[in-house]
Amino acid sequence: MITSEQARDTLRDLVAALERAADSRPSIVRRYRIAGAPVALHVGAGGAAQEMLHAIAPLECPDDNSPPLLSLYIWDGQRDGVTLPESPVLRRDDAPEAGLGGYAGDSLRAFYQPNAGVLSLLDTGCRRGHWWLRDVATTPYYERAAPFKHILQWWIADRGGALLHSAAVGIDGAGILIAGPSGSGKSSTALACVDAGFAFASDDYVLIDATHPPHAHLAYATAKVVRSSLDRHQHHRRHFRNLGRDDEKPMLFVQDVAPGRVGSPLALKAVVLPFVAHRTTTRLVRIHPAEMLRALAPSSVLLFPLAGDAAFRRMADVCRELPCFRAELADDPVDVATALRGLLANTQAVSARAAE
Amino acid sequence: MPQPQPSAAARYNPPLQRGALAVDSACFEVNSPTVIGEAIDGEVMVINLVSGIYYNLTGTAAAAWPMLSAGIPLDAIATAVSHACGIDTAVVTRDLTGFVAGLTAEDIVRATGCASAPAGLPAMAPATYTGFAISRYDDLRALLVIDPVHEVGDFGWPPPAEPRKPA
Repeated sequence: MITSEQARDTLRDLVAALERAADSRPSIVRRYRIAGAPVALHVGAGGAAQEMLHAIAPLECPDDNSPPLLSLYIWDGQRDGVTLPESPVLRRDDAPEAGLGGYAGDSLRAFYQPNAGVLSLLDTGCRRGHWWLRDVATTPYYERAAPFKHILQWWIADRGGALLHSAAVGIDGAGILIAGPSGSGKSSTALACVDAGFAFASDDYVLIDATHPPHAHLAYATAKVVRSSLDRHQHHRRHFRNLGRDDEKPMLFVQDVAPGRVGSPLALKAVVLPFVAHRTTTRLVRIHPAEMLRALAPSSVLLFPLAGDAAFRRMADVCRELPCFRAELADDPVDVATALRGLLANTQAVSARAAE
Repeated sequence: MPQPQPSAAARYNPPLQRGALAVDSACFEVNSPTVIGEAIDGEVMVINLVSGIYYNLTGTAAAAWPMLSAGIPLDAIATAVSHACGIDTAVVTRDLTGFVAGLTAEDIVRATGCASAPAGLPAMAPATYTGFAISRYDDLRALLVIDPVHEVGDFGWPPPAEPRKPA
């Protein structure tokens, strides 16, 4: 049995070793604005790990000398020549229930995915993190779709926000959060809205900040669809990156489809729970905040268990503060987008009347 | 002998705590950090981060949750519910005890020492007595397992399924 003290000591030693290696590694620094905050990503000059960053490309910005609120070092273990130490804390290949799953102690957070070969580390005290990939060439595509999501969750939670398992789209800076478990229609709804001219903030993971009501911020510009729905997305076919891989969900980066409509923050006006109802016209039904929280929270919390209590409270805030609707979806994506456009117009009008 | 509990400061593969099926303690606390709960809109949602099971408490159960999770003795909770709902204390005590036994069996709460005698009766607004209803949801594990994008095995949850034994 490994104690939390053993895990802490091993992880602290590992962080120190990575910090030393970072000092001697030729690297480049890329600047981003994530949820409005300056972030610096340190990537090996060799270039392989940079391939992992397409999903956040719309957030890249020039260096304006703002001190970063997150400094993240990205490692390609194979090309950087940095391997993890032999330690019972990290040895899970033969016994998944043993060794490190997750660690949260003091300011240190860690999560190890042994099969994917991914270790996420963040010190929330100094806002420095490490995202170590055993080998970029063999890193699963879902990490490319949503890079360093555990680190992002810990970091945004420390800033009073949360990373939600939700989609978000909007018009003119006003947005709708689309919640629900996998398979509920989040991605299809988000892409239907993108095709209708909406701005895009997420199809699967979205950052919300600490404002009340919150703003939704792009976490990843990735959109993934189930293979059986590809016919509906034929017009985007050339943008899907992985159609040749039957074991992967087809994935595209929305900046390729809708350049200029990805990455702006959205002031959230409503939360929608999609339901594939095969209706002729989409119907919106007001639901209780508790029902929405049941749809929103479990998958968000359980995908990031170390975020825990604070993220859960933030999700409850969102459901209390915003009107919640079930969207009984029509089969026609144009109709779905029209219904959500109408919802946004109505909630905007209600907000304007309340402000008068 | 009490089992060691993971501290709030450091969490490391927290073991699943197996609770007793009988309620033999007067006071309870939420089995944190494994379990988190949030009251919303007259209901309480509870998530067990280790098992992946989540729960919904409604009616009298939701009203009693803040008292239970604050470590108020069961007899004081029963008295408060009895006064607020106009129901015989013995009936409430019987229902509450069964409810807490269920929560304990699900590792949602654990027995704890009572810090001190409460100064007075806990506050509870007048309400209709609905019994102590709790809904249990274990659907998410299946939902995540069928979604290859989320690769739940690599997120550390849910734990690997135990191999089925031949009948």
